[in-house]
Amino acid sequence: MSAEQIHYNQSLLASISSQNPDVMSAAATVNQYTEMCKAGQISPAEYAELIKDVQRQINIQANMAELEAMEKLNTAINGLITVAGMA
Amino acid sequence: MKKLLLILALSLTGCSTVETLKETFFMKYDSNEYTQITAIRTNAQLATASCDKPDDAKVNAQGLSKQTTLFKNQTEFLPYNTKVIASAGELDAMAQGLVTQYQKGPVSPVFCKIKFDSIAKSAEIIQKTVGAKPR
Repeated sequence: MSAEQIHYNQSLLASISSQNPDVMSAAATVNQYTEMCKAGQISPAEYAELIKDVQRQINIQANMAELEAMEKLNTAINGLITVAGMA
Repeated sequence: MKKLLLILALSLTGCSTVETLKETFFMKYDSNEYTQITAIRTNAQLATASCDKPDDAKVNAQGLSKQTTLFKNQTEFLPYNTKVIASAGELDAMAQGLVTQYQKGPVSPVFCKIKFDSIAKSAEIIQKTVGAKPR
């Protein structure tokens, strides 16, 4: 990746404005990894792997958020069924 | 009352697919699933300390990747479990990615620490949700 491409993508990251803390956190993490790569703390191959991990973590968070909502729905419905059964 | 509950179910999820509703009501806590994700989280946490010793870290990375593959395979055919199956695949890909870097050559301690830490954090998110499944 060229210096110009890195600069462009970092500008894009800096322009992200979201109410979602997960999105902001992911943007900050990617920017942090980019700076680490530029400073030579991690290799380009390691950098690429870490960026893939950011995407994987977003997918895990999204899946688990959905599962958590389903669990709450299950609890609420079963609670209502119990209450209805007692009435 | 049944009608009301069904309307409530559909409106709360915002999802009208039958499969999602089936998963919502038929999902079940699995103690093996919970034990395995707890072990993955714990081992990833402990392995972070080995990142300054490349040989130890490589062995830990290989051990952890076997556990994430086991977790992926164990969840694969559990019914009404699509969210965990998808997450187990992502977690395994994270662990395999670390092993691949070790196979290519020396790995920087910074990368090693970030990797183990990311795996531990992701495993914690899965553990928290898997542990809250209905009994």
